[in-house]
Amino acid sequence: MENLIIEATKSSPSIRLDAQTRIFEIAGESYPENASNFYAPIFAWIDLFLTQKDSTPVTVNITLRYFNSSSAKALMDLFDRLEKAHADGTPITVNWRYHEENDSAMECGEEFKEETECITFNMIGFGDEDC
Amino acid sequence: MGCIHTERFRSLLDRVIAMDKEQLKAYYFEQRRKGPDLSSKGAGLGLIETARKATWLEYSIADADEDRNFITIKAVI
Repeated sequence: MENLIIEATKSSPSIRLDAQTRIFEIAGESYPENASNFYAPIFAWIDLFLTQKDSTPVTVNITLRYFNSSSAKALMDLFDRLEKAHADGTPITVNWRYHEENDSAMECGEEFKEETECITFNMIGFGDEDC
Repeated sequence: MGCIHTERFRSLLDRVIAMDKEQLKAYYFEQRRKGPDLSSKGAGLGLIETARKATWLEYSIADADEDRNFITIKAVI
């Protein structure tokens, strides 16, 4: 399966979905004009990838400085898909990365963590030196 | 004198103003899991988020002209 790479824009994050390393990366800011349209091809790729039901773990690294409420909905949708994949036998780890001074990013991460059950959801704060 | 959008807005604002922080959080979580509201351009979460962050929230609706309303929201964060 080919990797899915989408470069960041001012209002949308960079996307790196690597089928070989099984590492997914979402990084930047997310407030696209139409979040459903932006995330649709990404979810299609993930759905196809997860139909393999491979028991090799998948790591999802999310570093979002800011996202709008439509993107929050899309992220909730993503976590629901990952929960399902985890239940179907693909172990999933989400690393929610946030700058330690970005309280909003941290709180948003915690509120996603609260809404997930089975997947491993790590909160990882970083400082300026780890950027 | 209040189009359908204004009434939808009014009922949502009345609803969130009446809620305490725990109720707002539960309502936010519920709405975040829902598909997009077809009558809305947004996620239907912005006002709930505002209410969650605000220590005081009030609004007023005035007639702008025959077809439109002028809505003011005051949120103290």
